[in-house]
Amino acid sequence: MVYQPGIQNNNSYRSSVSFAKNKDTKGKKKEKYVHDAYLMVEEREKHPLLLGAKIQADKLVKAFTVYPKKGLKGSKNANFYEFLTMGTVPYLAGSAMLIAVFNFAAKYFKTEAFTKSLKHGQKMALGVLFYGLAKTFSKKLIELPVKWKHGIDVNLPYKKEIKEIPEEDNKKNLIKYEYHKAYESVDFPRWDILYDNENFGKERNAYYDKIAKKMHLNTGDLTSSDQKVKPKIKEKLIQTKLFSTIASYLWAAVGVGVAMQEPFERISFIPERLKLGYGIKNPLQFVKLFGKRFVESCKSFVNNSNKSSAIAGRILLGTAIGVTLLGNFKTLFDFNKDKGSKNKAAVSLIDKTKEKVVC
Amino acid sequence: MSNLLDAYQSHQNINNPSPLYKHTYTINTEGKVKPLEDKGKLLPSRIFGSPIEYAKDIKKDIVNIGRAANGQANDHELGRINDIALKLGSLAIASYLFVKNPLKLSKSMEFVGMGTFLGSMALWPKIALQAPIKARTGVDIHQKYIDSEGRKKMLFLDPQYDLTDLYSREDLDRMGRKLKVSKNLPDRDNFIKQRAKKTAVQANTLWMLSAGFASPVMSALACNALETPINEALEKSALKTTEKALKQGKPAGIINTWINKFRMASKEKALMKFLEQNAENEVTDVMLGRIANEFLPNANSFDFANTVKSSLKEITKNAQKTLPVDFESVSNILKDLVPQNFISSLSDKEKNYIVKLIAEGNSKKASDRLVALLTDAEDLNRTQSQQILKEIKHKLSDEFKPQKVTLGKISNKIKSLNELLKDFSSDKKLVDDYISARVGDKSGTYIANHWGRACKKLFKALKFSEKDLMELQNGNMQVFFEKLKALSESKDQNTVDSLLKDLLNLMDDYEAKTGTDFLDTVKKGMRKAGRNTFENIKDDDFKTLSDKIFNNRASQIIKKFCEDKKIDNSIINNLLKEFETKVDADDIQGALKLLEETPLIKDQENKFGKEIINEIKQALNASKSGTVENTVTLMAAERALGAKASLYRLIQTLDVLNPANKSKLDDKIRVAFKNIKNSEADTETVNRLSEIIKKILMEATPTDYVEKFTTSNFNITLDEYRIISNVLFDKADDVILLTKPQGGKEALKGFNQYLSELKTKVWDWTNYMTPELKKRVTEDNAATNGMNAVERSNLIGKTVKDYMKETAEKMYNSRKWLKTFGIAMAVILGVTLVAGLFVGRKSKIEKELEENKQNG
Repeated sequence: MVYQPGIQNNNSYRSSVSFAKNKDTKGKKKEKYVHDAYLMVEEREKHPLLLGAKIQADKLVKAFTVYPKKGLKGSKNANFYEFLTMGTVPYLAGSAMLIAVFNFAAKYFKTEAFTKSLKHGQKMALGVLFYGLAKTFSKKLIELPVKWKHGIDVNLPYKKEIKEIPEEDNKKNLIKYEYHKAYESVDFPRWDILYDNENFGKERNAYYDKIAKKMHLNTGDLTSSDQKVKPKIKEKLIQTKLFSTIASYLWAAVGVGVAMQEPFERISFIPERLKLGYGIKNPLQFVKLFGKRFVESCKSFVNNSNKSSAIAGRILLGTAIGVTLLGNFKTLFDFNKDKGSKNKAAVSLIDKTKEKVVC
Repeated sequence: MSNLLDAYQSHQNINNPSPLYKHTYTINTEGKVKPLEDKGKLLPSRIFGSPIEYAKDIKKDIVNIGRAANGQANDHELGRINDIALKLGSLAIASYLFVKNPLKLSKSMEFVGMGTFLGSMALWPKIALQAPIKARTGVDIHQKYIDSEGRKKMLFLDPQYDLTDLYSREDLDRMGRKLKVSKNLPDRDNFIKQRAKKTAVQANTLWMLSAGFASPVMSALACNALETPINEALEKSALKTTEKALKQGKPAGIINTWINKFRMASKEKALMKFLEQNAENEVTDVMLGRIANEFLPNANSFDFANTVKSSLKEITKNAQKTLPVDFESVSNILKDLVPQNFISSLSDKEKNYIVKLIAEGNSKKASDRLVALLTDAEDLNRTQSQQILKEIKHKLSDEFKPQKVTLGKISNKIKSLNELLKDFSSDKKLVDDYISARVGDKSGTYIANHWGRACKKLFKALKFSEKDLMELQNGNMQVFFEKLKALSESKDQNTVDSLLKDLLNLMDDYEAKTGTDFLDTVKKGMRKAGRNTFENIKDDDFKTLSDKIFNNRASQIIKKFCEDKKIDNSIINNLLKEFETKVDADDIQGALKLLEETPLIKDQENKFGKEIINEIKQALNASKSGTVENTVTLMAAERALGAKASLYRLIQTLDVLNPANKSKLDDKIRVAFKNIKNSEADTETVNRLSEIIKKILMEATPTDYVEKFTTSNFNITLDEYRIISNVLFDKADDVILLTKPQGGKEALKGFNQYLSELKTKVWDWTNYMTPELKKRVTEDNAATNGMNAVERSNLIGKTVKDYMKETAEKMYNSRKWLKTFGIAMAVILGVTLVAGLFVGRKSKIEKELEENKQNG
């Protein structure tokens, strides 16, 4: 028995094995599947926001409809992707409930308690909102520089075609689609679907060539660039995920901190109160006022009249910025050059003295 | 395999192979490649994991974060890091809000909130799904296993990754029995495994659907339940630590010491910077105000900054050298402006005064004085005097320019003042904390919680419904009367009685915690703080400040007297020590007596003369008023009195309103009526007076307690006023219409004292109530009764109506909230539990399949 590195990149395997049927529906562009996956490079480059929204909307709808139905039946086809996608349900429901807990009962309270409770509730609601926004968008602070510098798009999406096992109530419509990311797993990145994609170039290894060039890995010799860059991509992938995760929770904490500032007590989300108290007549005025309060709150977060609060704010913000910068530093520069990327990369993966598992 | 390899080879450029493949095209593993041994096993399932395992996992995770930073990690490790980051983020939020929140309870609740939220997220699936489903089907949906790499994972996380092989024979049998899979079914094990997997998929879906609704509510309810015990615990700990800190003379705990030091250091830094930046600038009033308010330790006290500012002013004044002025130079300047005979007509006293003013740099005031005298002497009209004033002012200020004092000149004095105040304010802070923990004007203090405890007793005894609370918070007291009436009519005589006893017992504790001992400790603490800092201050510049904070003039007089008489130092010191001990104990008479009878001095016939004793007496009396020590003690006493009076008023009201006591009240009114009017009262008068009494107890407010009486609200005569006063403010034993209240002995003493003070200080208005003086009682003449408005207000306390209203509102709000979310929680739990009953059931097809298999 011999162990063969790089076995999955071979020609005959690619051309002969494909699980997916390449559909050709009228008016729709043909989605070119490699194996079971269609890499959405073109859409991502042309309309990244639209694509993101489309995927999120699809996942959201399914998380509340199709997947719970399947899950509650205990379907044999239920999988981990569906379980994870359903994670949106507690995330959204939890946020809504958290807002409700602090706001719902306020309407029964008398004037003074009502105002007090509403002010607090409003800040809590903003806290929930800012937590979510800060957590989502702060990841980009680390992911985007990695994409620009190394060309590694950690969120590169692909559409996966699944053929389900026939079940009691479903014997015909057995093809389902899921939206995954090529790099969602660091153990098993979908290396296979990155080969031979016209969007990257004509060469079979075009994608890996591009990344090898961007990463300055022995650009003179691009033969089997895939073997050279894969360990490097994996390394950067892990670092990006680590730092973007930690930083995102810290930024979320900053978001909550900003929401808890006093200036937000001087704005109301109840239309009648806004009209009466602030003379707000149209949404634009509200947005302006909100923007003003937001800026004031950001200032108050780091420059509060309460000294210890200001210091705590600065420490929190400093930590978030610090972790983000450390993340950028670690992901953008190569500190492991000697540890076997370049030519030695693939060799170093195999330690001859150890026993190997073949699966 | 060989075909694939061939194809691979043909794809490569064989003639020019990559250096990578030159020697590694194939690897000879010499037969070592073989599947690894299967080391995966199930972990024992527990609701709570062991703390040791938990600690080990955390250690592993920390190592993993380090590895991941260098690009080495797997999906499992990254997933665990995500969980840790989530917790770290929550901790960051809680820590930030902990610092931001001013109140101890809210501070603690931030961490409690975080803990309960994370706890609810973990606990919800366990109690609502895992435990009931395991009990019913035998399937542990959160069964964990450890894989060959030592990673702990959930068995059913990915339904497509079948790990059911890890189940043992016993596990399968147990599940089979509970899932009612017939024993002789062919391929039974597989069937059970499929059912287990199905159960897990269903339960996990239910988990995802329910957790979002359940966790926040569960966490909020837990916080709500924990708030009261935490508050009580914080109160107890604050009472204990502040007392200990005051006794030991240093703040309790390293963190507090560190925070104090940090605060002082940052203020000091700002002061030094300010002094440096403004060293060349002339000292102004605004500048001194800023230094006093912003940079110097303000000892956390009301109006303290003003005291410090006046001290700074004094320092500035002392630094300003007087100008060399004599009257001749002044008259030289004036001779062209005013008639010569006017100058010569000025008396010596006037001349000296004007010279003194100019020498102090106050030539404006000197000009004013001169022109005033001139106007009188020469009969000048307004325009003339204005004109001449302008000229004189101009000339004088031109000639005698006051010397400027730069900040740099007094900066050393300010620095030493800073040092003094640092010492004093850290000592005083201990006293402040001691007071604050007991009677501070914020929630969570002893006084605030005590109030809450009394409320709870009252509202629990009277059993108010939600509707009643709604009425009460709208100020409708009828509900309260009806409750009391219903109680007495239901022959439940004990309820109000035992409520009163409970309240009196509570007041016992109150008297013990905020009574004379408390005020004594405050006074002693303040005296100690002043003595520590200012006793040995000799610098005259700090004299005013020293006198304001710590007045030891009496001791100084004694010391000087003894030193003049050349008495031995050790004798002086002993005498002073004894004297000060008596003064500290407020035993002024004893202290004076001690001086008069000091034998050593007597023997030498050097005994204190009457004059010096009088001087010492005056100094002692002066030290009693207006010092920081007295202000602090007075404020503490006022705070304690306010709450005490409110609660005693509530007790009195409950007692008088108790329908069981109606006849006793009427009797008392009759007796008082007879004593004052010398005639029998008719029923109508008695009823009217008793109604007025009830109204006064319920509604009369501190500011117009007396005033209301004279206005149309209560149309009563002076005699009737006296009757009511007698009925309400006699001794407690009489006023408390209960026969003999058990317990609350200290409280009864306090109550008696309260009533007698109320009678003499608030109700003793007979002089003002005579028909000849039919004027309204105003704040001014109220003050002449020996009490100012604040003191009177404190003594009268809060009206029972306000008390009930506020409490009803709070109670209504918290009940409404609890009810709303209690129901929500019950519904969510109920739905999840019911849905859980359908988890793991056989579907129709599965049933058929089972039957078919069984039948072969």
